[in-house]
Parts: sequence; C-alpha cells; structure tokens
Amino acid sequence: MSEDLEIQLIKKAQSGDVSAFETIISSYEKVIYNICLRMLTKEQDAYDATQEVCIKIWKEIHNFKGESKLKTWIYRIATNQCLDRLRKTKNRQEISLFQQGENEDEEWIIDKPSEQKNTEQIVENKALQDVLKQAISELKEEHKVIIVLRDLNDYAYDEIAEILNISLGTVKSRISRARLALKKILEQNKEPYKSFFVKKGNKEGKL
Amino acid sequence: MKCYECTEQLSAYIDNMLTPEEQKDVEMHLKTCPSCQKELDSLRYMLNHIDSLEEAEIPETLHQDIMRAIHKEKKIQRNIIPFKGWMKYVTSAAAAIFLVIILLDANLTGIKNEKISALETPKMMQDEAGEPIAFASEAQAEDNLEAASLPVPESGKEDIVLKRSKMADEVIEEWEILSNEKIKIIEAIKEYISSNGINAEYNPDENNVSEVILYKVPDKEKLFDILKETDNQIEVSKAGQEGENLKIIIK
Repeated sequence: MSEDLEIQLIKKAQSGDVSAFETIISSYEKVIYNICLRMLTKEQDAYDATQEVCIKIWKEIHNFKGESKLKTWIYRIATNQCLDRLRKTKNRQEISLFQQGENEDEEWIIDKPSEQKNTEQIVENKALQDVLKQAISELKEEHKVIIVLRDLNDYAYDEIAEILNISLGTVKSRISRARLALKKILEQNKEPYKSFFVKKGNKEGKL
Repeated sequence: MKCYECTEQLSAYIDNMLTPEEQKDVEMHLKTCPSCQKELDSLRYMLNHIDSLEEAEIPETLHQDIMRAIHKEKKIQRNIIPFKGWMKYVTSAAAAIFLVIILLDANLTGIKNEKISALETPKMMQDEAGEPIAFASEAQAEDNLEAASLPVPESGKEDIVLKRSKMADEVIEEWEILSNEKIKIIEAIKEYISSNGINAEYNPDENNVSEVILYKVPDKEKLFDILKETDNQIEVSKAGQEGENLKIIIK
C-alpha cells in the first residue's frame, strides 16, 4: 500500500469509515497475529489478542496524529497488548501455585512446559524450528518482545526504540542480552534443546 | 578488550550497529580469541534458524471475526448519546408508572435470581406519597421548555432498531427494579453515571417504556446499594446471562 493511499484511508477510518479501516487492517493483521503468536505461544491466545488489538486500533485511530508511522503505532499497540496479557497470565499462575501449595501432598512443578513438549529426538529443520519456538516462549517477556521484533520481524534498532518507547542504547543492550538469553536456553543439556547446537557441530564441524 | 566486553558487542556487530572503532576492536579481539569466535558462530547459527522460522498463516475466520467486532463496536459508539438527553425524556415519562431497572451484568453479589423487597413501613409510604407528583410536574415543565432540543421522533425510532439488533448479539444479564420513587431513582442513576464517567444510551418504546444502557459499569454492587438507599422499598429481579453492561428500563 502506498503511503498516500494509507494516509487517505486513515483519514476515512478516523471519520468512522469501517471499509477504509478494513483495508488498512487487512494489510497488518497477519503481522499482528504473528507478533501475538510468538509472544503468547498459544494459537487461541494469539487469536483473541489479535482481535483485541484490532478493536483497540479502531477505537484509538482518531488519536493517531501521524507523528510516527502507522506501522510503528500499530505494533506498539500489539506488543503492549501482549505484554499486558502475559502479565495477567503470570499473576494467575502465581495464584494457582499458591493454591496448590495449601495441599501439602502435592508437589509444585515449576518448569512444566519444557517437560511436556517435544521430547522426541529432533533432527529435521522443522523440528529445529519447533525447538526455537519453544525456547522463545521460555524467554522472559522483556527479552521475548525484543526477539519477536528484531529477529522474527526484522525491525531496525530505531524502529524498536520507537515501538517500545526506549532509547537506542537500551535497545542495543537489550538485543544483546535477549539473544544471549535465548542461546543459553538452547544450550541446555536437556530435551528438547540438547540437539540444537549438537546438530550444528555435526553438520559444520565447528562445535 | 575483555571477553565479556566482546560478548556484549557481538549482537550489534552481527547487525552492523557498531561504530567503525568499536567494530575494529571486536574484530581484533575475535582474531585472537577462539572462544569469542565460537560464541559469534553460535549466535549466527541461532539467528539463521530464527530467520528461517516460517510466518504463521492467519486463521481463516480471524479477519471475519475482527470485522464483526469492529461493526459491533461502531454500533455501540453510534448509540452512545449524552445522558442529559435521556434524562429529559425520562423525567416526563417517569410520571406514568413504575421504574424498572435491568442490569446487564452478573457480578452483583448479594442478589440472586429472586425478588428482593425491603420492608414496607406505612409511615414512609405516607410521607412519600406526594413527592413523585411534585417532582414530575416540575420535570414536565422543564421538559416542555426544552422540547425543541430533543431528538425528533424519527431518529428516536432509529435508535430503537439499532439497539435492538445490537442487544440480540450481546450476552445480557437483566435486572428488573420496581420502585415508587422513580424520580429519586433516576436522579441516583444520573448521579452515578456522571460521577463515574459512564457512557449511557437510552431507548424509549411505544408502550412508554424507557431504557438506559450503561456501558462498562465499574461497581454494580455499589450502584445497587445506592439504589437501595434511595428507595428501601425497591423490588429487584434478575434475568438473562452475564454481561459487562447494565440496562435500565423505565415504564
């Protein structure tokens, strides 16, 4: 979509034109869905969150003044919505752990996700992708949002600074820390991760 | 350069985000440090794999669901009109019969699906007997003066149609409240709406029934308490399913 066309559509949408809004949202919903999916992991959560994000965009579009690109503005709404959801989920999990603890016979299982999924041997590229997705889902939210924006969606450092409303220096150090954190998860000597870098060693003879 | 300093710079190095000087320093260190070189290789290997992650296709029904939600949202926005306009209508209609309040959310505690009647005291009934009439005549006079600013009947009817179709889509919990203190109850609702900054819409029908819908009521329990305080003879019955909003009908 050309920038001129987008500006025209934004103006129409701001005055309540739903079909103009539909044209705009059609070109962003896939990226919004992918951001939500990588941030929230579960498809149903991503589905619901994408709808919430789109409704928020519709409600807020009259506040969009064109100071940043529409794309940046939309992704900011999307990442914030996901971070909100993650925080809420985290609170719920803490509550349920607490309730379990009242029953002394039960043991707390804290790293359940990694035990549950992908215990089979991973060799193929598709399987490696699953390992990566799993690893990304285990990152803490601050790191996750960085990996999703920088490495999955290929945003430039300055775009990320604008989306997350942080300085370029902070973006730089967070990208570094987030990637090292992801690498650390993948280097664990347990399923499903233990084959990730081993495969590299076998194939390229470097490790 | 120390190894930890180099490690910190590797990501920006991969992304070409270092200044020429920083880049030179990192390259110098890498030449002499196999462990940092290995770290760089691992990072690149990992990033290549992330790069090859396929974008997920959007689920088939998602676009449709988004647009359905937007259309619904638009209807709500169109229906929200200033509460004052609603009050003008209600105060004249209120002289007629009962006040019925239907609340569109379940989270009220203390009130189940049954009628709640406060105890009646004969003295109070006597005391209050004259009041509604006095209120109503005042209100009517005011209403007549301001009649010109009211919506024309045609647009009023449009509102009914719009609202009905929207209501059919929504999950609704209904509260019905009967009171002889219509005016006071209306004033209490009005006060609650303005002090909480709630959006409201109204909808009269041909049997002289008025409704008001309050959107996203923050504390329904409190509203109920206010109404009960306003009229301790109030009768409440509940119907429908849970929802976030609150509907009031004035007959």
